[in-house]
Amino acid sequence: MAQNDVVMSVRDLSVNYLTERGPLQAVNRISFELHQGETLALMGESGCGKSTLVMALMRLLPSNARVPNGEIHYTTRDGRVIDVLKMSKGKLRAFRWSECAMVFQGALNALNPVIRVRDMFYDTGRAHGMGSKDAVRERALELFRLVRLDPERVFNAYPHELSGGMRQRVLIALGLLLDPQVVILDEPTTAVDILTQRTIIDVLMAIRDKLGFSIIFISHDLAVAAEMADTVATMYAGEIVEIGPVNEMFYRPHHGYTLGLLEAIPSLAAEAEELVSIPGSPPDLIEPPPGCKFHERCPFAVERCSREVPPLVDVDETHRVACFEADRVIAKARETIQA
Amino acid sequence: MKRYLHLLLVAALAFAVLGMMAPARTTTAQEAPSGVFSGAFDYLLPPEHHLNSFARGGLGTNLSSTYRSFVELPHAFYMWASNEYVPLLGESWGFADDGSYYWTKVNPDAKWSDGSPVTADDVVGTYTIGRILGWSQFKYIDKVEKEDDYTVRYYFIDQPSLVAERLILKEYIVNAANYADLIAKAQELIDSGATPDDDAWSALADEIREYRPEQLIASGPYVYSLDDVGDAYMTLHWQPNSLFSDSVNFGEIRIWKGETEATTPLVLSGEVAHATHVFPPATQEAFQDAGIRLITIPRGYGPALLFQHDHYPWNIKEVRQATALVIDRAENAFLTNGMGATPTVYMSGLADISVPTWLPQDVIDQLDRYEFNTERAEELMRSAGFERNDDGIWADADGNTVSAEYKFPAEFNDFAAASLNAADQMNEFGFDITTRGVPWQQCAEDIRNGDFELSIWSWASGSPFPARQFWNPLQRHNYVGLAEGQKGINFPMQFEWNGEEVDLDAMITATGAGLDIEAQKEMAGKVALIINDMMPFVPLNYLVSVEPFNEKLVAGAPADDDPILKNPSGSDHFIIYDLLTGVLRPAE
Amino acid sequence: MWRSYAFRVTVQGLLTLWAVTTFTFVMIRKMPGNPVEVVIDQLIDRQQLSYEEARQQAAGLFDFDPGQPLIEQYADYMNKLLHGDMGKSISSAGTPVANQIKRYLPWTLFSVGSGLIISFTLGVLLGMAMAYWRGSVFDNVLTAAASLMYGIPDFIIALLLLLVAGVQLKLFSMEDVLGGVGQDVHAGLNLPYLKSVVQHAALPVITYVWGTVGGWILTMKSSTISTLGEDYIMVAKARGLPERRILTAYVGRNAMLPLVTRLAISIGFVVGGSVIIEFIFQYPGLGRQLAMAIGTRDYTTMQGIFLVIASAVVFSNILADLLFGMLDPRVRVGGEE
Repeated sequence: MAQNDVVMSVRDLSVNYLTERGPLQAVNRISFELHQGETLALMGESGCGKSTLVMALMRLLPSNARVPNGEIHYTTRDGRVIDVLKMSKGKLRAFRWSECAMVFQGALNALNPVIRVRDMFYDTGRAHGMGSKDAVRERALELFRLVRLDPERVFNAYPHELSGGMRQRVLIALGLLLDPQVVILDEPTTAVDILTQRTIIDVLMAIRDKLGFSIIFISHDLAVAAEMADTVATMYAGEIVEIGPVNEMFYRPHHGYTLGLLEAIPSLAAEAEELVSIPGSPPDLIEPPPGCKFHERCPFAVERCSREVPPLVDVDETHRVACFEADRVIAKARETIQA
Repeated sequence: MKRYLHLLLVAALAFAVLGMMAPARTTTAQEAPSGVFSGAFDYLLPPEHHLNSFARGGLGTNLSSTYRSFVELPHAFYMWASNEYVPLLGESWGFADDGSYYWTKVNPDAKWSDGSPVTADDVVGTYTIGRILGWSQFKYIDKVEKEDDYTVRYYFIDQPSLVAERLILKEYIVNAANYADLIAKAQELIDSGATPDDDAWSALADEIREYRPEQLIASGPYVYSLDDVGDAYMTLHWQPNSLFSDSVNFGEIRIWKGETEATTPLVLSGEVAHATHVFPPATQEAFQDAGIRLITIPRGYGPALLFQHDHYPWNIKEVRQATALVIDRAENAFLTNGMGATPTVYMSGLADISVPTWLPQDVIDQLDRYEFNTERAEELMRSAGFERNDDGIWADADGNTVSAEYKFPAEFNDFAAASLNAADQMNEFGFDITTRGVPWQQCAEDIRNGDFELSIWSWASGSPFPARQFWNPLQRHNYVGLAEGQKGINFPMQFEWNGEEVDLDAMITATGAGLDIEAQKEMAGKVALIINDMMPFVPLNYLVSVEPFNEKLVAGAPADDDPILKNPSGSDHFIIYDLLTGVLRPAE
Repeated sequence: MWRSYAFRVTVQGLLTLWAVTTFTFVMIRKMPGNPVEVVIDQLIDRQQLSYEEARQQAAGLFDFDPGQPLIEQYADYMNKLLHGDMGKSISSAGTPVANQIKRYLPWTLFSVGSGLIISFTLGVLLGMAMAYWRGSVFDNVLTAAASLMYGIPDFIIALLLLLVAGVQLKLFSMEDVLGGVGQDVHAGLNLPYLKSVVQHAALPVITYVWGTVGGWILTMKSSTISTLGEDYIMVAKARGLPERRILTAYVGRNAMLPLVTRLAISIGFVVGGSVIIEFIFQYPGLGRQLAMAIGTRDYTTMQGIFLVIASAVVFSNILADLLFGMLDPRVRVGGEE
């Protein structure tokens, strides 16, 4: 992909939370680029900083969060480059949703329970100068059709009158109302049944292809990631430890943690096979361990791993990893994954 | 400059107009005196407040005995120090020579506020209504008759009585014309021979109560209408036609509404010149600090420790005497209400202020004053067969301890404090007393029903006569004076005393019978000695009304040694007489 | 659907009123003492009568016979009530209870009602602001103040207002603050009258607000804090909605839900007035009247006032249902089912 189609570029981004015990490094010096039409999947255990990262991208961090260093650059459709972290309040408000929208988990309380779905669309439209209510309504109904909802009924409904899957699709439609370039999906398929999950993925893929936006999405579900993503990033303890094209990542993982995640997938092909979960638990982020933060849980760890921090190095042009023992990992991966 | 000229013109014009009006005014009416007398009482607001002198919610309810005489005069005012009546509406009065009736004569100069004269018809009319309403005078008299234009006779049912005289002389006389229809109906009903049990009688009583006179016709120097009754205060306005219109020095009497908590700031801020409420000691001090004089006058009664004589061992005289000895009454009085209570001295059943007047000196000398003395109490207990047990509690030979529950009315701060302290002191001596506060209505009912072991209620009364003081609680709260089935303290009134059979009930009644005061004094002496010895109740202390009087607002208040301050608060309050006769006046 | 709901609510309300009326009828007659006994005690004390004499004389003052069987009294009362007659006061013979209520209810409604509105509005605004700037000096000072205000009984405040502001500092004259309205103005829709009414209501309202605003503040604050943590607030921010819109339709409306029930209950008890405040400021309200009626055991007056209070509570509960439904579609009445 060419350099000039980068939509979002993150450099050296860190986020700390102020706690009683001291700053907690939730995101630590992360860099990546998101291209037009690209789908980036963020993988990792809960608490690894995925959510913090995407919140930081929209500057939705809670008041006790600090960004000590890093840059987020966003390129608009007409080629202007915006420094997200330095935007004024008013510009930020305009940036949110019209440029970069977010689809929250529908299972959560993401819709205001006391107002109608239509009012949430109207609110959003009005906040971004979308013109008349009719325009908003027309656009919303169109989106509802795209996400396969009964447009009239859903538009006038209250959130509690809709099922979990319907709410999730309402949220997707709401996210797309202003035709953003980037859509962040926060576990869009969690806590809905398997059929609904399927529908949602189909809907998402269909409208992505139709509307051509970029996606950053967070998922525990590697199968979903494998199906949707172009690029996959593995996050551990606030850092991206490996990032690469989806096939590379799934078939030739170079990091012990990526491999560990893959081994933890229940494979449909090998149903009876035992699941290998990663032993141990994530490290303390207030006083992180020295060296590679994963070394305490890593089966490939050598003495050096506990002393030196492995830098993120290129495996090839698109695939990068932060591991001293990448060779042993890929060797092991060939064994397990090929089998 | 032009503006100034205008003002001058207006002023000149005003002077001219006033000048023309002023002489006209003085010829038609007297000038109301300047100055406002501000008192306080928790009167009612309309619609509960009305101008019917006979029904609750009317004058009696709203003006209290302190202010009512200012609009409706009784015949006379009683002076406690000299035991004599002084005239208000009446000119003269007395017993018939044969004692068959009492007579009163209205002052012929007396006029109502509408200018009509006050006559015997007003007096008779007042009593005609009173008879329908069951007034207590009719326990002594059965007929009220007009003798001449101003004189009225009250015929006694049997013998003449000083108590009846007081009831008659202190009754407020109501303008008969204002109630003409009702009086006519009442007279008709009485003449027809109807009795209070007849339906017609109670129907007329209802009609009387529900009557709402449109205006008040006053014999006193002040009058008011319902428009004068405000949320915060009501105003009595001076009127020129009364016997006392010339002597009073205030053009208005302003009565601020409220109980103690509402009255306190008004006294402190100098709005209220005088109040009769019960103020706690801290408030009394605050008044003094604010430079407000406190005038102390008797309340007429005090708290008494009541024994249930059915409850062992209160039926034993020595135990009761010991109880009287182990309660330090000075301490008890202080805790009851600071300077608002004085310890009982003579323990005679008669208010201490009445003792010198009514008891012969030799009796006074014989009275046991029960000064605090635990050793004497211990001797008495031992003489009655009691010893302290291992827990230090007094018990008889069978091990029965002296124990009781002490029930008191929780809302009455003074009675509650007196009770708690008395119980403490009794426990210190080795009795086993527990205390329980109950709603006052409950306490009153329980005392009447005899449903208590120890309790507290008043002793003595605001009446100057021994019969009416001994009455409380020996007759009032004892089986002899209560309704059928109520036993009260159940103190037996017939017993052997000093070797002779006595009937205390009859003796108390005898102290008020007839007109022979010397005989009454002798009988009162006997009764006092018996009560002093038997200790059927313990008169803990005697309440004093501590009344703030702001001399920056009103001058002329009696000095502390003025005999009129012997009068208790209530219907003989010094304010009544001193205001009417012009002793009180606005301060300079 | 709506019709059956209205029917159900009406029947429920009437049943509640009947039950309350019957219950209070029995209970107030089970209180120790009765109106006649109270007067008998007074007569005995003042005139030193025997019990029988006092009873006879007291009977002359009352159109009420405490000896009448309870069931007969009840039948009489209910019969009159069904004909819209609340009876006549016992202790002020011949005064209709309806007149008493007409006299005092407006004052209570005005003073406690405006107090409630002020208190609620202040509480909601301050509580929200405190939740928004949680941990700030503003929040800490107000939280401490709210707890303090909540902890000081209202009658202490009332007395302090009178004694400190009135007596010591002489900020106002007693005449201008005691009672419901001044005596020198004529009732009616004229400026001096209205001014006097407002002036006289000021201290009672301040006292009422003082005593209640702390509760509203603290409730609103905690409710807002939990609402601010909700996902839909985050979503609303992510959508770039203006602060004001988020504050009203998203935070405010949701945070107020728990307060609505409380508000409805408070509205019901507005009618009961605020006894102590009314006593201290001589405010001619229904609460003081009720307390006085209880003191004299004026059964009919008590009964009438209780009936008015019960009606207000029933009514405000219905109102709460409707209001709650308007604010929260999840519990909308006559909804989907």
